[in-house]
Amino acid sequence: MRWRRGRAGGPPPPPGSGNLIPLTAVPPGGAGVVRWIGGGRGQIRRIMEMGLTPGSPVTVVANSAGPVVVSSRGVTLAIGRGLASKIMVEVTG
Amino acid sequence: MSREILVALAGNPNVGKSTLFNALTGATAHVANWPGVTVELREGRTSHHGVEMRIVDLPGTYSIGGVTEEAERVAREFLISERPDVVVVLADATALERTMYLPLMVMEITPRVVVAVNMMDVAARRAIHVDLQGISAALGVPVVGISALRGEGIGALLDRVLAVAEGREGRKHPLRIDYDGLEPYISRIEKLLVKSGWKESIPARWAALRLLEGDPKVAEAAGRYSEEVKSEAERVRSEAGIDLRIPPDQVAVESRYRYIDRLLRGRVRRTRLLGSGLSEALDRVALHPLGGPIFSLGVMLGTFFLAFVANMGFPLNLILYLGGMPDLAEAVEELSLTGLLGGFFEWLGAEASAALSNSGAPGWLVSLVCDGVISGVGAVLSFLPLVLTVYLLLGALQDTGILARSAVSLHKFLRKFGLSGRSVFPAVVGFGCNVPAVMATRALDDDRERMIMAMTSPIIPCQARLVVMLALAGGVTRDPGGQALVMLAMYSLSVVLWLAVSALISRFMFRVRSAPELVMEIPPYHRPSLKVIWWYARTNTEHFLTKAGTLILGFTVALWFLLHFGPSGFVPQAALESDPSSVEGTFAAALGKALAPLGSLVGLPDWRMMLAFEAGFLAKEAVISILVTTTGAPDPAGALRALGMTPLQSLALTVAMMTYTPCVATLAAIKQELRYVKYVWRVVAYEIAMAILLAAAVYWGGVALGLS
Repeated sequence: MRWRRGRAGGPPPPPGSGNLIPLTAVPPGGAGVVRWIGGGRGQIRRIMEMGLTPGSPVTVVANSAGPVVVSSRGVTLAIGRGLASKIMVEVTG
Repeated sequence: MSREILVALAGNPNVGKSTLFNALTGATAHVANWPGVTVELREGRTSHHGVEMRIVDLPGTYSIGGVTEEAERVAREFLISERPDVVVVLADATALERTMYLPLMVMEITPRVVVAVNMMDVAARRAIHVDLQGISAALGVPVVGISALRGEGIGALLDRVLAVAEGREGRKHPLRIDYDGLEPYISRIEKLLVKSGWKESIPARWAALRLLEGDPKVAEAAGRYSEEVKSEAERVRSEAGIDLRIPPDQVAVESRYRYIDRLLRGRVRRTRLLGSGLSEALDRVALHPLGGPIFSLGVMLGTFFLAFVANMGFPLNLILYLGGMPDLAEAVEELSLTGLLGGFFEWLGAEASAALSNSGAPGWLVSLVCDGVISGVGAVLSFLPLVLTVYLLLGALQDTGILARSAVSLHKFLRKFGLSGRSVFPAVVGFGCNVPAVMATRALDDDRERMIMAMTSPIIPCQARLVVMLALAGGVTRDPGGQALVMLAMYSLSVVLWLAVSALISRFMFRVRSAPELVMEIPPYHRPSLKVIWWYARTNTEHFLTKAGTLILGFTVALWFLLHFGPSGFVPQAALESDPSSVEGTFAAALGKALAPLGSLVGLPDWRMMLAFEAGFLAKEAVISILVTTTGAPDPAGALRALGMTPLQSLALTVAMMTYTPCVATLAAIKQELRYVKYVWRVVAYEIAMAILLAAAVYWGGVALGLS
C-alpha cells in the first residue's frame, strides 16, 4: 500500500491508532517518524517542501512555549505551535 | 570571438547563493530590471575562457512551485520567459536531503542545469562525505563541489557551465521524476496538450504536472490553445484528488522527496553525528521560552548602541554628560562619523561659495550649488556611515544565525499582533532605515503579513528620525537625563504603535482570524565571516544610496527652490541668514502658512513648524536645518526657543515628528513592493491621522493637567 509511510491531509488518524502523538507533545530530545500532516493545503505543502514529509524521521530540539524546533533531513526547522499540533508522529525514542 | 551566455543562479535561502554570486561577479554586480518578471534582480558579469557570462541572481527559494509566494513566482517565470543558457542551482552539502529539492524542480523545466554543491569544506569538517560523481551520473547533469566562501571549485564550476552551454555535457531532455499514483493523470493531460499543438517553451509533461498542481498561469496558457483542454485538465485534477484522497500537489512533493531519498542512498555518508557542544549550549539560551526573548532583545539593543555611538556619539555622550564629563561627551560627538562628515561639508560649501562668487557666477547659481546640491549630497552622505554600520552589524547577526533564533523566540509574542516571528527581520532593519525595511518584507511567506509589515514598518523610527528627536528633545528639557528619558519614551511609543497598528490592520483591513503561522529553517550557527558581512552591508548600502540618495538629492534641490524663490523672485541665502523674516517672501512660507491651521489643532500654530513638516516629508533630517534657517538661531534648541516653544509644545512637536508620514523614499519603496498606489495613500493617511491624534492628546492633555 502506497501510503503506509503516512498521510498528508485528510482526517486525522483516530485517537489511539498506533502510538501517534502530536509533535507539540514530544519532549525535547524525543525522536519519531512523521505519520500525518494536517492543516490548510498551502500550509501542508509548505511544510512538505521544507522537507518534512510523511515518513520523515524527526528529532525535537526545543519544545516549550514558542514554536517547536525540530531537526530532520539534516536541517533545523521552527514550526509554529498551531501547525505543529497538526503533525502526528510515531514516537521511536 | 566573443559571445555572451545568460546564466541564472538559483538556490535555497542560507545555502550561500549571495556568496557565490559575489565571488563570481565581484564589482560588476548591479541591480537590473527584468520586465518579464516585473521585478528587479541583481546581475553581474564574469568571463571564462574568453566567453562572457551574464549572471542573474534569482531570489532564494525552497521551491519554484508556489502560486502565491512572490519569490517563487519570480524565479519560475524568469526560467520560463528569459530561457537562460544555463541554470546553476545550489545545494548544501551538509543538508543534501533537503536542498536537492530545488535542483530537481529546475531540472524538470530545463535540462541545461549544473548543480553546485556548496559548503563542501563544512561538510568535510563535519565528516559528511558526498559522492558527487555518483549523483552526477544518476542525474545526468554536472554536479560540482564548491566552497563559495573560500572560492574553491569556482573554476571547475564555470568549466561545467561552459560545457553545458555548448551542449558538450548535460541532459538533452528535462528530468523525468516518477510520480507514482499521479502518472496516469499526468499522461492524460500531457496527451491532451500535445494534441492541441502545445508549443510553449515549457515541456508538455511539466505543464501537465503544473496543471494537476493547480498553477493558474499554466492553465491560462493551456486555455489559449483550447478552452476544452483547460477545462478537461481541471476535471482530471479534481478526479485525481478524489481518487487518491490527497491533493495532487502534495503527492508531487512526496514523490520528489522519495526520488531524492533514492538518489542519495549510499551516496551520502555521515561518519559522525551532529551536535557541536557550543551551538547546543547557545540554543539552550536562545530558544528558551523566557531566556530567548531576553537574549534577542539584549543582542539587538547592544547592536544599536554600538552603531549609534560610532556614528553620532549618542547615547554615549548623554551618559558622559550625566556622569559629569561634558568635555569628553563633546569630544565623542565631534569625533563621531556624522560629526566629522558634517564638518567636512560645511567647509566644502564655504570653499565652493567663495570660488564661484569670485568667478562671477550669478547669486542664484552659487546658492543652488552650495545651499542646494552640496548640502543635499552632504545630507545623504552624512547618513552613509550610519547606514553602513547598521548593516555591518545586522549582517553579523544574520550570518551567525542569531537573528533566526530571535525570530523563533519572539514568534509567540508577535502572533498577538497579527505578525509572525519572521517580521523581526524587517523590523530590526527599520531602526536603521525604513527603505530597506520595506524591501525586506519581500522575504515574508505569508502574503497578508507581507502587506501588513510593508505598511507598518515605517512607524519604526529610522536613524534620520533619531537625529531629529535628539535635537527636539533639547527643547523639551535641558537636563540630559530628562532628554534620555524623552528618547526612551519615543522609542517605546513607536514600537507599541507599530504593534498596535499591525494588529488593527490585520483584524480590520484584512479580517485575518488566525495569525500567520511559522515554518522556517534555522541555519546552523556560523562563525561570522567578514567577507559575507561586508557583501551584505555593501549591497544594502548601495541600494540605499541609489534609491534614497537620488530622491533625497532631487527633493533637496526642490526644497532649495521653494526656500529661495518667491513670487518676487530669488531670495539669497545671505538675506535669509541675516534677516530670518525674509523667508516670508518665499513659496515655502506660503505653503507653510496654508497649513498653519492644522498645526493649531495640536498646539503648534507657527507656520514655520508646518514648513519643517513639509521638509521632513522629503527627508526627515531636513527638519532641523529648516528650523535653524528660518529662525536664524545657532542650533535646534535655540530655534525652538526663538519660535517661543514651551516644553509641552516641544514634546507635542517631537511626537508629531516621530509619527507622521514616512519620507518619500520609503513611500516609493512601499509602492514598489505592494504595486498599488492606494496602499501608499493609506499609509500616508493613517500616519498623519495618528500624528495629529497623538500630538493633540499630548498637548491638550498637558494643558488640562496644567503643564506648559
